[in-house]
Amino acid sequence: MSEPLSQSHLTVLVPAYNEATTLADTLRSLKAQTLLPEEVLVIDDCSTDNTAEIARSFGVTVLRPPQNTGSKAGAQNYAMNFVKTEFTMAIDADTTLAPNGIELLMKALDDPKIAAACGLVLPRFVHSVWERGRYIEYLFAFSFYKPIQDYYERPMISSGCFSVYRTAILRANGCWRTRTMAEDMDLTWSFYASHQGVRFIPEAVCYPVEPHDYAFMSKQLRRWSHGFIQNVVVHWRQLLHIPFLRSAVVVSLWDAIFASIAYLILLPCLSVFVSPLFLLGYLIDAPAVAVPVLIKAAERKELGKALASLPSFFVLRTVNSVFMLQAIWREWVLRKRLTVYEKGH
Amino acid sequence: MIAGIPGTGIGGIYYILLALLMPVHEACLTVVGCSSWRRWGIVSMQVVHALGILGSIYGMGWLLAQGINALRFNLVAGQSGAYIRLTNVVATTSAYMSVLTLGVVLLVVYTLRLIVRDPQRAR
Repeated sequence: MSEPLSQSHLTVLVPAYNEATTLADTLRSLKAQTLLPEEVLVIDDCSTDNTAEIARSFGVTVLRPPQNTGSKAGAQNYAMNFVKTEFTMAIDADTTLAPNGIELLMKALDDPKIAAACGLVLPRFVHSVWERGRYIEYLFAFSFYKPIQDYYERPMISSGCFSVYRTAILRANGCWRTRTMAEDMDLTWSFYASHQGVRFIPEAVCYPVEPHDYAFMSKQLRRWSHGFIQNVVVHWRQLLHIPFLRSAVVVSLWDAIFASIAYLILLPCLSVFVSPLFLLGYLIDAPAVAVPVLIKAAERKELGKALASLPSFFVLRTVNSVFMLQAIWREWVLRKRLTVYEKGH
Repeated sequence: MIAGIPGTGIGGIYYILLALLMPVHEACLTVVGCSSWRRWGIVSMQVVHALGILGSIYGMGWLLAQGINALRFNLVAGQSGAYIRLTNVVATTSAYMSVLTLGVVLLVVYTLRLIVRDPQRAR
């Protein structure tokens, strides 16, 4: 095995709140990288477990804010005061990286027009119906949607669980703003608005722990759906003037509203009052979803896992519809913004 | 994170159309010397995905039509001339509606773009 490269000019931020069970794997994967970061900063956001001790046992720098910052974005912003390198990477404390993850992602920043880069995200554990649904969702989105977005130079989100940034541009954009529940989407769209580029590098793979039960999944879905709507509200004027992104966002928003209505209201009504055959509407696009999923799964030699997980995708999609409609109703109609960041992996 | 609900509605059609446009776009880049084999590899893969999805949608529509035809045939006790045989459920209904809806949505966005001022330029 070749020696790890140094001189990465990179600081890795690992925000952590009560992550004692997952942090060791994350830090171990950072130590095993082919390109090592100059510094790893673990932000122990006033954990009540032994997160800080675990971090110190790996010889990394541990920062502890005077009080809990209330969100991942808050913890990362706190750590930005200590970053001295040209590049900054953010990794979730429950995320491990493929051994060449950092090296491959950093190559995207060779291009001076690129401010940020993100990699391929795949769940580390694929057991429960929620993890399986998310596995298919990621295989679909990261093998079909995201490469197309990247080809047209507008990946919609530089995923917060594994992204690298130019530190100066990150600071110039206000780092990770806490005005929405989806700080990674907010930051990505801010980059585009200030004419900075973002890349998606599918070869750089990370493996987060995804919600394994409904309690955790509901927190994540609530945060993501509210975050999406909040970002549309914050950025809509600028979005209209960003080529490709404007159409990608409006199409996502349209589907979030009308596909949700179709799944939750239209199809049940039609199946009751017209014909039960309309229930097929829930699964009619199963072969279409399966095509990119199975191609990617075959490439990764995970065909069996993907086939077994495919039905879970349709469960997750229907549940996701409930959260999307709820978010739209609360944010736009009732004007009740979600402001409390609930951790759900 | 992921925005919205992937794998639904007009989003699917939108990305299929974008994937099918990629070879045209890449051919233009090749002419001006801005392409590479690696880029063509990405384009080819996305076109394969798009064609595979289109094929599977058509196949699913055809299969559903056969199922519905058989069901109706049994209901009218074998009188095959008593109803109009479906050839493809998806191709004749939802696909056209999705493309039409997508067209209208994109038209509205482009119109809005002309009306709403760019806040960056306004500064």
